[in-house]
Amino acid sequence: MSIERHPALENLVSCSAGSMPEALAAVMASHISLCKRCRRELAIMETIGASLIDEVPSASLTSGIGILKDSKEPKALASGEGDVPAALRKHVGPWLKDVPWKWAGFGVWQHRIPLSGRAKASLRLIRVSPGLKLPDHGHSGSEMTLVLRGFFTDNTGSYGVGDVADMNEGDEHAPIAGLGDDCICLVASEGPMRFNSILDRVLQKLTGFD
Amino acid sequence: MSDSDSLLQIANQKDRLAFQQLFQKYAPRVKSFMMRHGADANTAEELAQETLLAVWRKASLYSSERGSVTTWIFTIARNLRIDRLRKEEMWVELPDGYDQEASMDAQPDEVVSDEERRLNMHRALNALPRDQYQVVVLSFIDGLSHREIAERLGLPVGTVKSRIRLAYLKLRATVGAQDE
Ligand SMILES: [Zn+2]
Repeated sequence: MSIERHPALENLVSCSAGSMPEALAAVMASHISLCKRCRRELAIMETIGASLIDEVPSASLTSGIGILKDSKEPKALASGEGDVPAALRKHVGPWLKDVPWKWAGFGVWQHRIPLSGRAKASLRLIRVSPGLKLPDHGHSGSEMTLVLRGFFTDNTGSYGVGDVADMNEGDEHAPIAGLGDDCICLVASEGPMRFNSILDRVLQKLTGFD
Repeated sequence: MSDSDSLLQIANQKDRLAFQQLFQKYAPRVKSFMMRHGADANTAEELAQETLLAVWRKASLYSSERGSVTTWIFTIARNLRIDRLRKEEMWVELPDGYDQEASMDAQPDEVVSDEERRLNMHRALNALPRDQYQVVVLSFIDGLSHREIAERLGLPVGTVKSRIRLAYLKLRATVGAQDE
Protein backbone atom coordinates (compact mmCIF):
# COMPACT_ATOMS: atom_id res chain seq x y z
CA MET A 1 0.00 0.00 0.00
CA SER A 2 1.49 3.30 -0.94
CA ILE A 3 -0.02 6.60 0.03
CA GLU A 4 -0.15 9.11 -2.82
CA ARG A 5 -2.09 12.02 -1.41
CA HIS A 6 -1.07 13.81 1.73
CA PRO A 7 -2.66 16.67 3.60
CA ALA A 8 -1.55 20.20 2.70
CA LEU A 9 1.70 21.17 4.45
CA GLU A 10 0.08 24.17 6.14
CA ASN A 11 -2.41 21.80 7.74
CA LEU A 12 0.36 19.56 9.01
CA VAL A 13 1.99 22.68 10.48
CA SER A 14 -1.24 23.45 12.27
CA CYS A 15 -1.32 19.93 13.70
CA SER A 16 2.23 20.11 14.95
CA ALA A 17 1.45 23.51 16.48
CA GLY A 18 -1.55 22.01 18.28
CA SER A 19 -3.77 24.66 16.73
CA MET A 20 -5.88 22.58 14.36
CA PRO A 21 -9.65 22.42 14.95
CA GLU A 22 -10.42 19.13 16.65
CA ALA A 23 -12.32 17.25 13.93
CA LEU A 24 -9.67 18.01 11.33
CA ALA A 25 -6.93 17.10 13.80
CA ALA A 26 -8.53 13.68 14.21
CA VAL A 27 -8.32 12.98 10.48
CA MET A 28 -4.77 14.31 10.33
CA ALA A 29 -3.68 12.20 13.31
CA SER A 30 -5.21 9.11 11.70
CA HIS A 31 -3.36 9.78 8.47
CA ILE A 32 -0.14 10.49 10.36
CA SER A 33 -0.37 7.16 12.14
CA LEU A 34 -0.45 5.50 8.69
CA CYS A 35 2.07 7.71 6.90
CA LYS A 36 5.78 7.72 7.56
CA ARG A 37 6.43 10.67 5.28
CA CYS A 38 4.05 12.94 7.19
CA ARG A 39 5.49 11.72 10.50
CA ARG A 40 8.85 12.91 9.28
CA GLU A 41 7.45 16.32 8.28
CA LEU A 42 5.73 16.55 11.64
CA ALA A 43 9.01 15.92 13.44
CA ILE A 44 10.64 18.80 11.55
CA MET A 45 7.68 21.05 12.28
CA GLU A 46 7.88 20.26 15.97
CA THR A 47 11.43 21.62 16.02
CA ILE A 48 9.96 24.96 14.92
CA GLY A 49 7.71 24.96 17.97
CA ALA A 50 10.72 24.13 20.12
CA SER A 51 12.74 27.03 18.73
CA LEU A 52 9.88 29.43 19.28
CA ILE A 53 9.47 28.27 22.87
CA ASP A 54 13.15 29.10 23.30
CA GLU A 55 12.41 32.64 22.14
CA VAL A 56 9.39 33.23 24.35
CA PRO A 57 10.25 35.52 27.27
CA SER A 58 10.18 33.58 30.54
CA ALA A 59 7.37 34.13 33.02
CA SER A 60 8.47 34.18 36.64
CA LEU A 61 7.33 31.30 38.78
CA THR A 62 5.67 31.78 42.12
CA SER A 63 6.51 28.31 43.42
CA GLY A 64 9.33 25.83 43.15
CA ILE A 65 9.35 22.26 41.98
CA GLY A 66 6.26 20.43 43.12
CA ILE A 67 6.16 16.91 44.49
CA LEU A 68 7.84 14.49 42.13
CA LYS A 69 5.52 11.55 41.85
CA ASP A 70 6.68 8.41 40.16
CA SER A 71 4.25 6.43 38.16
CA LYS A 72 4.40 4.26 35.14
CA GLU A 73 2.94 6.02 32.13
CA PRO A 74 0.53 3.74 30.33
CA LYS A 75 1.60 2.97 26.79
CA ALA A 76 -0.80 5.00 24.67
CA LEU A 77 -0.31 3.40 21.30
CA ALA A 78 -2.78 0.69 20.33
CA SER A 79 -0.40 -1.32 18.22
CA GLY A 80 -2.26 -4.63 17.99
CA GLU A 81 -4.10 -5.97 14.96
CA GLY A 82 -6.83 -3.99 13.28
CA ASP A 83 -7.70 -1.91 10.23
CA VAL A 84 -8.64 1.22 12.18
CA PRO A 85 -5.80 3.78 12.49
CA ALA A 86 -4.26 3.81 15.97
CA ALA A 87 -5.45 7.34 16.72
CA LEU A 88 -9.11 6.32 16.31
CA ARG A 89 -9.15 3.03 18.13
CA LYS A 90 -10.25 4.24 21.50
CA HIS A 91 -13.43 5.49 19.84
CA VAL A 92 -14.32 2.76 17.40
CA GLY A 93 -12.20 -0.22 18.39
CA PRO A 94 -9.65 -1.91 16.15
CA TRP A 95 -11.89 -3.25 13.36
CA LEU A 96 -14.06 -1.43 10.81
CA LYS A 97 -16.41 -4.41 10.60
CA ASP A 98 -17.49 -3.81 14.21
CA VAL A 99 -18.52 -0.18 13.70
CA PRO A 100 -22.22 0.33 14.60
CA TRP A 101 -23.29 1.81 11.25
CA LYS A 102 -26.47 3.84 10.87
CA TRP A 103 -28.28 4.07 7.55
CA ALA A 104 -27.98 7.58 6.11
CA GLY A 105 -29.52 7.36 2.66
CA PHE A 106 -29.42 5.11 -0.36
CA GLY A 107 -26.20 3.09 -0.19
CA VAL A 108 -24.68 5.27 2.53
CA TRP A 109 -24.09 4.48 6.20
CA GLN A 110 -22.45 6.63 8.80
CA HIS A 111 -21.15 6.55 12.33
CA ARG A 112 -20.61 9.80 14.20
CA ILE A 113 -17.63 10.14 16.49
CA PRO A 114 -18.30 12.49 19.39
CA LEU A 115 -16.04 15.49 19.88
CA SER A 116 -15.60 17.88 22.78
CA GLY A 117 -18.46 20.29 23.39
CA ARG A 118 -16.94 23.31 21.69
CA ALA A 119 -16.15 21.67 18.36
CA LYS A 120 -17.73 23.50 15.44
CA ALA A 121 -17.20 20.62 13.04
CA SER A 122 -18.36 17.04 12.74
CA LEU A 123 -16.33 13.86 12.61
CA ARG A 124 -17.73 10.62 11.22
CA LEU A 125 -17.03 7.41 9.47
CA ILE A 126 -18.89 7.07 6.19
CA ARG A 127 -19.43 3.82 4.31
CA VAL A 128 -20.56 4.01 0.69
CA SER A 129 -21.65 1.11 -1.53
CA PRO A 130 -19.34 0.28 -4.45
CA GLY A 131 -19.94 2.42 -7.53
CA LEU A 132 -22.28 4.83 -5.77
CA LYS A 133 -22.08 8.45 -6.82
CA LEU A 134 -22.49 10.97 -4.02
CA PRO A 135 -24.39 14.07 -5.10
CA ASP A 136 -22.46 17.11 -6.26
CA HIS A 137 -21.69 19.14 -3.21
CA GLY A 138 -19.80 22.19 -2.09
CA HIS A 139 -18.40 22.94 1.35
CA SER A 140 -19.14 25.76 3.68
CA GLY A 141 -15.87 25.12 5.54
CA SER A 142 -12.83 22.86 5.26
CA GLU A 143 -13.44 19.18 4.76
CA MET A 144 -10.88 16.48 5.15
CA THR A 145 -11.42 12.86 4.10
CA LEU A 146 -9.16 9.90 4.82
CA VAL A 147 -9.80 6.64 2.95
CA LEU A 148 -9.71 3.58 5.20
CA ARG A 149 -11.01 0.95 2.80
CA GLY A 150 -11.72 0.78 -0.95
CA PHE A 151 -11.25 3.93 -3.00
CA PHE A 152 -13.12 6.82 -4.54
CA THR A 153 -12.60 9.17 -7.44
CA ASP A 154 -13.68 12.73 -8.08
CA ASN A 155 -12.68 15.56 -10.40
CA THR A 156 -9.33 15.84 -8.59
CA GLY A 157 -8.34 12.21 -9.08
CA SER A 158 -8.42 8.87 -7.31
CA TYR A 159 -8.02 8.27 -3.57
CA GLY A 160 -7.01 4.92 -2.08
CA VAL A 161 -6.37 3.63 1.43
CA GLY A 162 -4.35 6.12 3.47
CA ASP A 163 -4.91 8.99 1.02
CA VAL A 164 -6.31 12.29 2.21
CA ALA A 165 -8.62 14.59 0.24
CA ASP A 166 -8.03 18.02 1.70
CA MET A 167 -10.85 20.34 0.54
CA ASN A 168 -11.06 24.04 1.28
CA GLU A 169 -14.09 26.21 1.72
CA GLY A 170 -15.73 26.73 -1.65
CA ASP A 171 -14.31 23.60 -3.32
CA GLU A 172 -16.91 21.38 -5.00
CA HIS A 173 -16.75 17.72 -5.88
CA ALA A 174 -18.90 14.70 -6.66
CA PRO A 175 -17.09 11.65 -5.33
CA ILE A 176 -17.83 8.20 -6.75
CA ALA A 177 -17.04 5.12 -4.67
CA GLY A 178 -14.79 2.65 -6.47
CA LEU A 179 -15.98 -0.79 -7.55
CA GLY A 180 -15.14 -3.79 -5.41
CA ASP A 181 -15.28 -3.12 -1.68
CA ASP A 182 -17.46 -0.62 0.09
CA CYS A 183 -15.58 2.63 0.40
CA ILE A 184 -15.05 3.59 4.05
CA CYS A 185 -13.73 7.04 4.91
CA LEU A 186 -13.14 9.16 7.97
CA VAL A 187 -14.53 12.60 7.25
CA ALA A 188 -14.19 15.85 9.18
CA SER A 189 -16.29 18.73 7.96
CA GLU A 190 -16.34 22.21 9.37
CA GLY A 191 -19.66 23.24 7.92
CA PRO A 192 -22.59 21.31 6.48
CA MET A 193 -22.19 20.12 2.91
CA ARG A 194 -24.11 22.14 0.36
CA PHE A 195 -25.81 19.92 -2.15
CA ASN A 196 -26.44 21.39 -5.54
CA SER A 197 -29.79 19.88 -6.49
CA ILE A 198 -33.12 20.35 -4.78
CA LEU A 199 -33.82 16.63 -4.57
CA ASP A 200 -30.50 16.04 -2.86
CA ARG A 201 -31.25 18.81 -0.40
CA VAL A 202 -34.59 17.19 0.45
CA LEU A 203 -32.88 13.84 0.99
CA GLN A 204 -30.31 15.56 3.19
CA LYS A 205 -33.13 16.78 5.45
CA LEU A 206 -34.86 13.40 5.55
CA THR A 207 -31.83 11.36 6.41
CA GLY A 208 -30.10 13.76 8.77
CA PHE A 209 -26.98 13.59 6.61
CA ASP A 210 -25.47 17.00 7.09
CA MET B 1 25.48 19.35 31.54
CA SER B 2 23.50 19.30 28.28
CA ASP B 3 19.75 18.83 28.36
CA SER B 4 19.96 15.31 27.04
CA ASP B 5 22.60 14.42 29.66
CA SER B 6 20.27 15.77 32.33
CA LEU B 7 17.50 13.62 30.99
CA LEU B 8 19.72 10.56 31.01
CA GLN B 9 20.65 11.25 34.63
CA ILE B 10 16.98 11.48 35.48
CA ALA B 11 16.15 8.29 33.61
CA ASN B 12 18.99 6.29 35.15
CA GLN B 13 19.29 7.65 38.67
CA LYS B 14 16.31 9.86 39.34
CA ASP B 15 18.81 12.66 39.70
CA ARG B 16 17.01 15.61 41.31
CA LEU B 17 19.75 18.12 40.59
CA ALA B 18 19.61 17.31 36.91
CA PHE B 19 15.86 17.75 37.06
CA GLN B 20 16.19 21.08 38.81
CA GLN B 21 18.34 22.30 35.97
CA LEU B 22 15.72 21.37 33.36
CA PHE B 23 12.96 22.79 35.51
CA GLN B 24 14.62 26.16 35.92
CA LYS B 25 15.26 26.39 32.24
CA TYR B 26 11.90 25.27 30.89
CA ALA B 27 9.15 25.80 33.45
CA PRO B 28 9.17 29.64 33.10
CA ARG B 29 8.93 29.35 29.33
CA VAL B 30 6.18 26.79 29.39
CA LYS B 31 4.31 29.03 31.80
CA SER B 32 4.39 31.95 29.42
CA PHE B 33 3.51 29.62 26.53
CA MET B 34 0.34 28.67 28.42
CA MET B 35 -0.43 32.30 29.22
CA ARG B 36 -0.16 33.25 25.55
CA HIS B 37 -3.01 30.83 24.90
CA GLY B 38 -5.17 32.56 27.47
CA ALA B 39 -4.41 30.71 30.71
CA ASP B 40 -4.35 32.83 33.87
CA ALA B 41 -1.06 32.90 35.79
CA ASN B 42 -2.06 30.19 38.29
CA THR B 43 -3.34 27.75 35.70
CA ALA B 44 -0.33 28.43 33.50
CA GLU B 45 2.00 27.68 36.37
CA GLU B 46 0.19 24.45 37.18
CA LEU B 47 0.46 23.36 33.57
CA ALA B 48 4.15 24.22 33.55
CA GLN B 49 4.58 22.06 36.68
CA GLU B 50 2.67 19.27 35.02
CA THR B 51 4.70 19.47 31.82
CA LEU B 52 7.94 19.16 33.75
CA LEU B 53 6.53 16.42 35.95
CA ALA B 54 5.81 14.46 32.76
CA VAL B 55 9.47 14.95 31.83
CA TRP B 56 10.49 13.49 35.19
CA ARG B 57 8.21 10.49 34.83
CA LYS B 58 8.82 9.76 31.17
CA ALA B 59 12.55 10.45 31.04
CA SER B 60 13.32 6.83 30.22
CA LEU B 61 11.11 6.99 27.11
CA TYR B 62 13.09 9.82 25.61
CA SER B 63 15.56 9.03 22.90
CA SER B 64 17.73 11.66 21.25
CA GLU B 65 17.07 10.09 17.83
CA ARG B 66 13.58 11.45 18.02
CA GLY B 67 14.66 15.05 18.35
CA SER B 68 15.97 17.44 20.95
CA VAL B 69 14.86 17.71 24.56
CA THR B 70 13.29 21.09 23.80
CA THR B 71 11.22 19.56 21.02
CA TRP B 72 10.02 16.82 23.31
CA ILE B 73 9.07 19.32 26.01
CA PHE B 74 7.30 21.45 23.39
CA THR B 75 5.15 18.49 22.30
CA ILE B 76 4.25 17.64 25.91
CA ALA B 77 3.25 21.26 26.57
CA ARG B 78 1.36 21.44 23.28
CA ASN B 79 -0.70 18.36 24.10
CA LEU B 80 -1.40 19.52 27.64
CA ARG B 81 -2.61 22.82 26.25
CA ILE B 82 -5.07 21.00 24.00
CA ASP B 83 -6.22 18.74 26.83
CA ARG B 84 -6.49 21.26 29.67
CA LEU B 85 -7.01 24.65 28.11
CA ARG B 86 -9.06 23.71 25.07
CA LYS B 87 -10.55 20.61 26.72
CA GLU B 88 -10.22 18.68 23.48
CA GLU B 89 -8.80 15.31 22.74
CA MET B 90 -5.05 15.16 22.05
CA TRP B 91 -5.29 13.46 18.68
CA VAL B 92 -1.69 13.91 17.61
CA GLU B 93 0.64 11.72 19.63
CA LEU B 94 3.84 12.71 21.31
CA PRO B 95 6.89 11.64 19.33
CA ASP B 96 7.40 8.83 21.87
CA GLY B 97 3.99 7.42 20.99
CA TYR B 98 5.02 6.23 17.57
CA ASP B 99 6.86 3.02 16.95
CA GLN B 100 10.64 3.06 17.04
CA GLU B 101 11.88 5.18 14.21
CA ALA B 102 14.36 7.99 13.93
CA SER B 103 12.24 11.04 13.42
CA MET B 104 14.80 13.19 11.74
CA ASP B 105 16.35 10.40 9.66
CA ALA B 106 19.78 11.98 9.91
CA GLN B 107 22.08 11.02 7.07
CA PRO B 108 25.07 9.19 8.53
CA ASP B 109 27.55 11.31 6.56
CA GLU B 110 26.16 14.63 7.72
CA VAL B 111 25.31 14.24 11.34
CA VAL B 112 24.30 17.67 12.57
CA SER B 113 24.48 18.19 16.29
CA ASP B 114 21.40 19.17 18.26
CA GLU B 115 22.99 22.47 19.03
CA GLU B 116 23.76 23.25 15.40
CA ARG B 117 20.29 22.29 14.32
CA ARG B 118 18.82 24.54 16.97
CA LEU B 119 20.95 27.48 15.89
CA ASN B 120 20.07 26.92 12.23
CA MET B 121 16.38 26.96 13.04
CA HIS B 122 16.71 30.15 15.09
CA ARG B 123 18.53 31.88 12.30
CA ALA B 124 16.03 30.71 9.73
CA LEU B 125 13.09 31.83 11.86
CA ASN B 126 14.58 35.27 12.32
CA ALA B 127 15.37 35.54 8.61
CA LEU B 128 11.70 35.03 7.66
CA PRO B 129 9.80 38.03 6.29
CA ARG B 130 7.83 39.64 9.12
CA ASP B 131 4.41 38.63 7.81
CA GLN B 132 5.49 34.99 7.61
CA TYR B 133 7.16 35.01 11.03
CA GLN B 134 3.99 36.49 12.50
CA VAL B 135 1.67 33.72 11.28
CA VAL B 136 4.11 31.03 12.43
CA VAL B 137 4.21 32.50 15.94
CA LEU B 138 0.43 32.90 16.06
CA SER B 139 0.10 29.26 15.08
CA PHE B 140 2.71 27.68 17.38
CA ILE B 141 2.79 29.98 20.37
CA ASP B 142 -0.66 31.56 20.49
CA GLY B 143 -2.24 28.29 19.31
CA LEU B 144 -4.57 29.95 16.80
CA SER B 145 -6.16 28.04 13.91
CA HIS B 146 -5.84 29.34 10.35
CA ARG B 147 -9.30 30.84 10.60
CA GLU B 148 -8.55 32.53 13.93
CA ILE B 149 -5.32 33.97 12.56
CA ALA B 150 -7.22 35.26 9.53
CA GLU B 151 -9.75 36.94 11.81
CA ARG B 152 -7.11 38.47 14.02
CA LEU B 153 -5.12 39.89 11.13
CA GLY B 154 -8.07 40.75 8.91
CA LEU B 155 -6.80 38.53 6.08
CA PRO B 156 -8.43 35.89 3.89
CA VAL B 157 -7.86 32.34 5.22
CA GLY B 158 -6.13 31.48 1.94
CA THR B 159 -3.48 34.13 2.55
CA VAL B 160 -2.77 32.78 6.03
CA LYS B 161 -2.43 29.27 4.62
CA SER B 162 -0.02 30.32 1.90
CA ARG B 163 2.12 32.37 4.31
CA ILE B 164 2.43 29.41 6.66
CA ARG B 165 3.28 27.14 3.78
CA LEU B 166 5.95 29.47 2.39
CA ALA B 167 7.45 29.96 5.83
CA TYR B 168 7.61 26.22 6.41
CA LEU B 169 9.27 25.50 3.08
CA LYS B 170 12.03 27.97 3.96
CA LEU B 171 12.48 26.59 7.46
CA ARG B 172 12.55 23.04 6.20
CA ALA B 173 15.21 23.85 3.65
CA THR B 174 17.52 25.12 6.39
CA VAL B 175 17.35 21.91 8.38
CA GLY B 176 18.40 20.07 5.26
CA ALA B 177 15.24 18.10 4.58
CA GLN B 178 14.60 17.32 0.94
CA ASP B 179 11.42 16.67 -0.98
CA GLU B 180 11.07 13.06 -2.01
ZN1 LIG C 1 1.17 11.64 4.53
